[in-house]
Amino acid sequence: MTSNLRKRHRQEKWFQRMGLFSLCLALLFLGIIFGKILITGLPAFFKTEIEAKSAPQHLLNPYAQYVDQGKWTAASDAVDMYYKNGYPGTLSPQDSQSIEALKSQNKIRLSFNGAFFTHSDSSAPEMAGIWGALLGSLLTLLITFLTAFPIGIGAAIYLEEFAPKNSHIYWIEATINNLAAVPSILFGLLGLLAFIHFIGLPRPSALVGGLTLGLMSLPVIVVTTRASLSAVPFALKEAALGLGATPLQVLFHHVIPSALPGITTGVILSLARALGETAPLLMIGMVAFIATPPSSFLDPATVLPVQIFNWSRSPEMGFVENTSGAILVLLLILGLLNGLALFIRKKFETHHGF
Amino acid sequence: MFKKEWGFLFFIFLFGFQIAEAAPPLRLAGSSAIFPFAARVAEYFHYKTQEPTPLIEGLGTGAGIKLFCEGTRELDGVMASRPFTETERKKCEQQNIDFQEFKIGQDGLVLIEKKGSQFFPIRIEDLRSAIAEKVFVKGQCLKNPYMIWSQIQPSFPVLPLRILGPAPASGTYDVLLEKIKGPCDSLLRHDGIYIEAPANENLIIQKVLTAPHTIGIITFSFYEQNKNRIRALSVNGVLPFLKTIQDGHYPLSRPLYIYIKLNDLSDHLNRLLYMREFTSNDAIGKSGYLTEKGLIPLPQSEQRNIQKDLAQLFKTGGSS
Amino acid sequence: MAFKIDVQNLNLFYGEKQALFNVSLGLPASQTTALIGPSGCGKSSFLRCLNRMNDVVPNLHLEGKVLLDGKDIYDPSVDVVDLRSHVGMVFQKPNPFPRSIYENVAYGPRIHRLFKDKSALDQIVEKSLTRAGLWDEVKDRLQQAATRLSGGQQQRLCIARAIAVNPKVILMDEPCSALDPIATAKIEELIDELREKFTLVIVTHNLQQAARISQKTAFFHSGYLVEAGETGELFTTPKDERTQGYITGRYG
Repeated sequence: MTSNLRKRHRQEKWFQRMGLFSLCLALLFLGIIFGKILITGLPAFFKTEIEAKSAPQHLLNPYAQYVDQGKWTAASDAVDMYYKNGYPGTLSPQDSQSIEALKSQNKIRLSFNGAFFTHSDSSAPEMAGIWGALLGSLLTLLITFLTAFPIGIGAAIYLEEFAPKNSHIYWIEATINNLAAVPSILFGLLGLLAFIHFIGLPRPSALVGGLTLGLMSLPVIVVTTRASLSAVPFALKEAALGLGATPLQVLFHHVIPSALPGITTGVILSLARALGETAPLLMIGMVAFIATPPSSFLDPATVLPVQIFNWSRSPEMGFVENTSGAILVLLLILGLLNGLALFIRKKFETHHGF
Repeated sequence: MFKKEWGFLFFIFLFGFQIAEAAPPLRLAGSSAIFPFAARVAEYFHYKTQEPTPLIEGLGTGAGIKLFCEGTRELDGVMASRPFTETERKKCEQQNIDFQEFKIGQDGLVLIEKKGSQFFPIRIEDLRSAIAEKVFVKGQCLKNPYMIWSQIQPSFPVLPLRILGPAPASGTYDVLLEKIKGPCDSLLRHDGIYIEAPANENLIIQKVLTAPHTIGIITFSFYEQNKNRIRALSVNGVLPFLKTIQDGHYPLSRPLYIYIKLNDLSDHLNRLLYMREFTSNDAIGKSGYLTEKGLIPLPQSEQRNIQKDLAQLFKTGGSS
Repeated sequence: MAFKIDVQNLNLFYGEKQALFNVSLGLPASQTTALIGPSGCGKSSFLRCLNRMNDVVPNLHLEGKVLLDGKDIYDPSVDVVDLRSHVGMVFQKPNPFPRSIYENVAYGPRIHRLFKDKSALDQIVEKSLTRAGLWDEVKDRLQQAATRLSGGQQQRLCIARAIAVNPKVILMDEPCSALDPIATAKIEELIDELREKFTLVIVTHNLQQAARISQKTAFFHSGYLVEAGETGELFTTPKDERTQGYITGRYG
C-alpha cells in the first residue's frame, strides 16, 4: 500500500516539475525573441541629427533642402548607422573623418525620433515613420468593427436564443464554426474577388481592408458571443420569465448584460487579431509605397503589419531597425488591447454571480 | 443613443473627404526591382512639384502589366523589368490603351558570396549547369544530376551546390531564365539545390552570410547597398560594376522600362513630369540619387533622346 | 370555497414520455396548498403548469384545463406574459438579478408599467419589501447589489420581487431547501402572512413544513395525484396506503 502511495506522490512531483520546466522554457524563448527585437528596435526611436549647414549635402537626408527642419537636420541613413553602431557601411574614409570632426565640435547629436510617429512612409529610412500605417490601421479596424460586430452579435443572438433546432440550423452552425478556422489568406482572396473585382471598390483602401477583415472576424465573433450567451445561467432567465418578461425583454435586460463581459472580450480579441493580420491585406494589394496618410476610408492606405513587411524587404540598413521599432509599437498596441480585454473580464466578474 | 445627425456626419466623413480632395496621386505598379527607384523618384517629385506623392506598388512585372492593360484604367504607368510580350500588347490594344515605352536604365543580376570566402570565376554555362532543371549531358537533356561544384568543372572546389535566387512570377526570374537559356529549354530546378526567395533579397543576403557555401542571386542595387558584407562573383570573367553593366560586358544585365499611359494625357501631365524627374540629371546623372542606389543609368546619348521624347509629348499632350 | 386555480384532467407529456396522468386538483383562494411526494413524482412539473413556465421546454405537450378564476390559461387567446404577472413564482435556489435591491423589486412593475411616477414606484418597492419582511434590514442600502445579501435575505427579496407585481397566486418551488433553519423559519412565518392577500402553492420535501404552513395538501406519486385534502386530515388519517407509507417515512 505504502509503495503505491509513494509512487503516486512521485508521479505528482514529476508532473509538476515538468510543468514548471515547460513554463521556464517557453519564457526563455519568449525572452530571447523579445530581447532581440527590443535591442534591434530601440535605436529606431532615436535619430542622428547634424546642426544645420554644418555638413555637406551627401551626409544629410536626401530631402534636407526641401524640408525646413530648423536648427538640426536629420542625417543620412549611412551617417545614422555609423553614428549609432560605428558601422561604416557605404561611407568613405573622408566621410568618417568629417563625422568625427562634427562629433568633436558637438555639431552632431542623437535625439528622440519623434518623426517616427508623425511621418508616413518614405523611401529613405531616416525619414520614414509609421503615422500613415497607424492611421490606416485605425480606419481599417473601425470598418472591421462596424462590419463584424452588429452582424456577428445579431447572428449569435438569433442562433442561440431564437433559432429552431432543426437540421438547417445545425448545418449553418457547423459552417460558421468551420469558417472560424479558415486561414486568413483565403479571406484576402475573397476580398479581392468580391470587393475589388466585382463591386469595384478602390484598392488598397481602408474600406476594402476593413470589410475583408470584418468577414474574417465574423465567424469568430459569432462563436465567442454564443459561448458567452450560453454561459448565462438559466436561473437568471427563469427569474425574468417568471415575472412576466417577454423573450425580448429577457434577452436585452438580462441575458445580454450578463454576457456582455464575455462578448466584449471576444470582440476586443478579434480586433487585436485583425490588427496583426498581414496575409489577406497583401492579397488585396496593400503592399505599396504610400507616402501620404489616408484622409478618408477610400484613400489608399496601408496597415502597420504590412508596413513592417514592406520595410523588411528594403535594402537600406536603416530599415532593419525601423522594422524592429515598428514591431515594438505593434506589440505594445496588441499588449494594451489584450490587457484591456483582461481588465474588462476581471472588472465584470466581481459583479456577477449568484 | 444614435442620433440621425451623427449618422449623417459619419457618412460625410466616409465619403466627403474624397470630394474635397485635390487631384488623386499618380499610380504606378509593376516590377519589384524598379520599385525602390520609383519610390525615391516619387518623393523627389513630391518635394519639387508639391504634387501628392505618387503611389507605387511592387506587385511584380506580370501583375503590373495585367493591371495596366485592364479596363479600369487606374494606373498611370507600369514598371517592367522586361518588355511587353505580344499577347500583352494585344490586350492593351483591345482595351484602347495607348502607351509609350521608356527605357529608364539597366539592372544587373549579381552572384554573391560571403566576403572572405574563396569562390571562383563562373561562366554562364556553369551557372546553367548549377541551377537549370534539365541539362544537356551525354547528348541528351536529363534532369539535373549535379550536386557538387566539382562535378560541373573539375577545377571547381568539392563543395555542395546551394544557390538562392528569385522566385517565378518575378521579372528577375524571367530574366535569369533567359540569360541561362541553353539547348534544353527548362525552368530552374526545384529539388532543393536552387532555393527560391520570393521578392526577399534581404533574406538571400542573410542566408549567404550565415549558411555555409551558399551563393545568392540578387539585383545590382541590393548588392551595391550591401557591398561591405558580400562579394560578387565574376561572370564570364567580368565583375559587375556600373561601367561593365552599362557597356554590356557584364553578361547578366537587363534593361528596365517604364510604360506611361498616353490616354487623356492633357489631364495627366503629371505623368510626364514624373518621367522627367526619373530621367533627370539629379536622378540618373553621374552622382544622381538613383545611380547611388544602384540603378545603372543609360548612356548619355540615350538620356538625351528620352528628354527629347518627353518634350515632344509635353507639346502634343498639352495642346490637345 | 372557490378555487382560485382549478386543474381539470391534466395530462403532461415530455415528447413520448408522460409525466402527469389525469391530474385534477383545486387550489383554494387565500390558502396555502402544499404539494408533497417523493423525488420525480411530478409535483414540480405540475407547479410549472400553473404559470406556463413549462412552455419553454421543447417537445412539451399538455392536455386538460387549468382554470384561473374560471378562465383556461392554456386558451390560445391568453397572453403568457400577462398571465405571469398574475401568477408569480419563487424558485428553489434564490436567483435575484445581479443588480441593486431596489432594481430587483422594481423590475416587475417596470415591465408591466404598473406605476405612474418615481414616487409611486418607490412606494411599491417599500410595500413589497415590507410585506416580505425585508424592509427594515435593507431600507438603508437599497442601491447595494442584491447578491451581497445572505441566502435567506435573497430568497425574501425574490418573494418581494414576486409580490411587487401584485399577483393573484404565488407559486413556490421548494423555497427553503437551500436555506438554513433560521432563514427557513422566517420564510415560513412570511408565508403565513402572505396568505392574507395571495393564494399560495408550495412544493416541499419537508413534511413537517407542509404540515406547519398549509391548509390543503396534495400527495403526488409517479405522476399521479394519489390523494388531496385538508392538511390535518391527510397527515393523521390518510386514505391511501401510499400516502401512509410516504408520511411515515417508509419511502421517499
